[in-house]
Amino acid sequence: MQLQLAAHDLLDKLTAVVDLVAALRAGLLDPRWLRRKPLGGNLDETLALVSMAYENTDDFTTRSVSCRDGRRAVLAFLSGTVNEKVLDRSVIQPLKSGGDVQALFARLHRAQPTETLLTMGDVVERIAAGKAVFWVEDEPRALAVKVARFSKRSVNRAGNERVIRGPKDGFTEDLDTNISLVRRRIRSPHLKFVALKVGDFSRTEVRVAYIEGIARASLVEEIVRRIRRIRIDGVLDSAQIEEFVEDNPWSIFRQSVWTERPDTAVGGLLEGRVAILVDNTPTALVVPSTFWQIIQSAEDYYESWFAASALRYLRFFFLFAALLLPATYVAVTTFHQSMLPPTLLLTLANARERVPFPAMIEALIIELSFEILREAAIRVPQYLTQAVSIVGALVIGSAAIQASIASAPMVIVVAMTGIANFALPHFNQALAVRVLRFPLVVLAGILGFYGLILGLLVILVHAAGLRSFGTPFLQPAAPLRWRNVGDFMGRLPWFAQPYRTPSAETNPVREAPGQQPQPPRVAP
Amino acid sequence: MITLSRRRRLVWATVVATSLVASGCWDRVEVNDLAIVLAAAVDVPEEGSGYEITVELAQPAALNAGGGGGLGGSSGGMSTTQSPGAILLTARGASWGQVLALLQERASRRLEWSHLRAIVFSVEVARRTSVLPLLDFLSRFRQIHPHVPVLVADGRAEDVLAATPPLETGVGDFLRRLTRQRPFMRVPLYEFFRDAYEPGIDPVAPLVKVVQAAPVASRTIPSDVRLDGAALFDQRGRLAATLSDHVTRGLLWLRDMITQSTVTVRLPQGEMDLELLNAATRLHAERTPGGPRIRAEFWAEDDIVDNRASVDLKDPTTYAQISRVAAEEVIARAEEAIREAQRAGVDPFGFGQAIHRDDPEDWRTWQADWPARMREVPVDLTARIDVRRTGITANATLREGR
Repeated sequence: MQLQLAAHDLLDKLTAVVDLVAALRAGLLDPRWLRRKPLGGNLDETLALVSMAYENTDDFTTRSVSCRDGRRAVLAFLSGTVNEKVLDRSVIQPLKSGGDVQALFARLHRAQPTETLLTMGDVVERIAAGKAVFWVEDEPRALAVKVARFSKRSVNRAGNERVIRGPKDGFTEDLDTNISLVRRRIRSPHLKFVALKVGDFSRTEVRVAYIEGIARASLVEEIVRRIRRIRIDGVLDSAQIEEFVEDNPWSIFRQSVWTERPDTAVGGLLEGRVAILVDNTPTALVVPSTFWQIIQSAEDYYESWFAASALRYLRFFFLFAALLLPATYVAVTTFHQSMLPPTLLLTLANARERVPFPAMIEALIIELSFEILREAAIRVPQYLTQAVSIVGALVIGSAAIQASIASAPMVIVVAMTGIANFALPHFNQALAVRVLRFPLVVLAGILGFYGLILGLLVILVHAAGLRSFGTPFLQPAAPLRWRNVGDFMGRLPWFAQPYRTPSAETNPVREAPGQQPQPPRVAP
Repeated sequence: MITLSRRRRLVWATVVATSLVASGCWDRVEVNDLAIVLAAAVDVPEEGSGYEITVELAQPAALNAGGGGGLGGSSGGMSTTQSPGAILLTARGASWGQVLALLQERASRRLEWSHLRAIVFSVEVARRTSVLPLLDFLSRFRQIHPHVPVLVADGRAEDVLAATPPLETGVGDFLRRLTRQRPFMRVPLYEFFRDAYEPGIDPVAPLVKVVQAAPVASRTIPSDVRLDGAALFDQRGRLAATLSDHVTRGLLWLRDMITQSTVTVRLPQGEMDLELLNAATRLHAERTPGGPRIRAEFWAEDDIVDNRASVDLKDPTTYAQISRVAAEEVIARAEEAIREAQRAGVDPFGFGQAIHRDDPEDWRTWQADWPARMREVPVDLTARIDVRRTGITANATLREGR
């Protein structure tokens, strides 16, 4: 009788569950209701609902375990993302042997990073995040245990921002690793990571890192607010976040800087900037940024300040070369021949004697061939890069000149422009320069220097109007901030530039004054 | 899409439209569509009136003909009759403007004057008519650079352009480089203008001459262009006199244009040569009862380059002697130049300006008939020559105790 009753009760429960699932399938119940549904302590109902959420999911695994006190427990996880050995040792065995479930929960909680879950939605989501979730009969809660085993690569050298002197490690795709790379450089409770999740399906972890007391609180709030605003299906890289949070997303200039170097990111944090770390992204976004970071390299801070300053001035020249060299050449040779030294003019006239195209078209042809080569060199399988460069050197460098498609001076100009572009340390801003030189060539070809200056003015006015999270893009040049000029075009030694970037208004002084080293009066 | 307000759209449209309209859009010229004028020569036609203007055009395509490649690298072809990098084009007309149009009609490419390297007037142009109307054109023509050297050809100017100077690609280039050599006079166009239009000084220009050199060996060039003396102009832009190369030295001293030259000093013991290192000239006017009196002070630093007189250079008293004789030499040259200029009634030295500076009252009365007064203005000349060094040895060829 007793048994019959129990069986009937069970049957009753089961039919209720079946009805629930059927109702959900038929669309009679709102899925949102399910997300908010509290765990009722009905083991089978929970199991059925979770199984339904993971229908057609091959790696979804459940294990039934009988506890020592006779109650059943169910363990659910995705087999690929969970380290089953650890799971067995740290969850299944204690469940089988442990007495009181409450005590077990408490013990697990001490031993393992766990989370107590109260709703169906949480259970489903934690399983997707790679955790093992188990619930016990008649317990109105579930426990998520972190035994994840996502595949990840180890910390490697930062391949795109290489330095000779200075740390070599680079961010990886794993968020926890990246956080630890930042954390080991700032061992202070003031280093904060605001945890956010973006992406309806990807549920990508995002951390907004800043140093409390240096970064402006309103800045952090604003960044967090902008990231919270994002509604998207999935986030594959921080680039997507970048475009959602920038002040002027339609601008050709990016108003944030990415870096794969933890030291650069931490350097930004110490200057009062905010770093945005996104899971699965081996780079950190550092905001607010200024235009002048295009000529600033991480190595500037590790090498002699004198050489670093000289290099920055050199890169400033490269910046203009990469932007203006072909346009200047076209303008001078087609409009302002009187500006050339006579001998140079004769040489150019001689070189162009058999070229059938106007200088502007010639410039565009060579520029395009260079861009084709540059793109092909990235896409081509590694074994073939040499073939591409040989073809490029022969076709562009020599055959085009011999066939009088282009003149040798033009090839020199384009090659110098390309090399100057490569010499700019920040790739995303260098891309803007790379694109902008084409309209400038056309302007110079149509209007001469007049067009060139017109184009430059448009670029300048545009750049001057940009803001990166409220910071003017051309700062400290415009508006001029004298106290920050020491780290703008040149780089003063550390003891001589005590000020953080203008974005750190709350705490602008980074070091004690009067630290210039001097020889002692009396020999030690 | 980027959304622009109506006002912004209007602003952008205006910017684009005005920039396209205001710029004379398609007036671009490729460098290989240019005929680059390297030198211009102005002659008087043998019959008829007006001017005959010859231009030397660069021929860039010919620069690397001959297999060698590279600019001016045709060392073997130097002795040919036509310099390889340039061709000549001649036209005749009543004015420079007319001739220019004619020249342009004959050239398949647009004439580009901004790289003009020398302007040569024939001595006949300067003698028969004035050069001032020509200068008026040149001062207005925006393509001509004011630094172009002006020269006067002793003979026909087109012969100068037809010469084949050694080492350079064309005559224009040759003349420009030659006038840059410091012993010679260099009169850029702006200086010629200034002297022509300012009262109290008259323009001068170096004389250039074609010398037929008898070929000594296969490497000797058949004709040679030389700078030889100077042409003096009067206030109306006509040729007043020509000076020989020797007398031109004195002119250069007085115009403070001398920077490098060799002075031969005649000591009682023999001759020696001094090299000029540094020189300065100051002109002053003094008021005397008979009218202004010009005082010219020369100063120079010299090195001894040659001691043919075999004087003892270890003896300090020698230097005073050398200085004195050298000063006399300089003064003698200057006196010769002054004499020739006074005979022609021109003031190429700027004596009038000196009076204007130092004695403006007298200048006001003298200015009207300055050319006549110039003929008899008295000039006092003083010179101080500091002999500094003796080269890398003192008495190398002198036996001790001789």
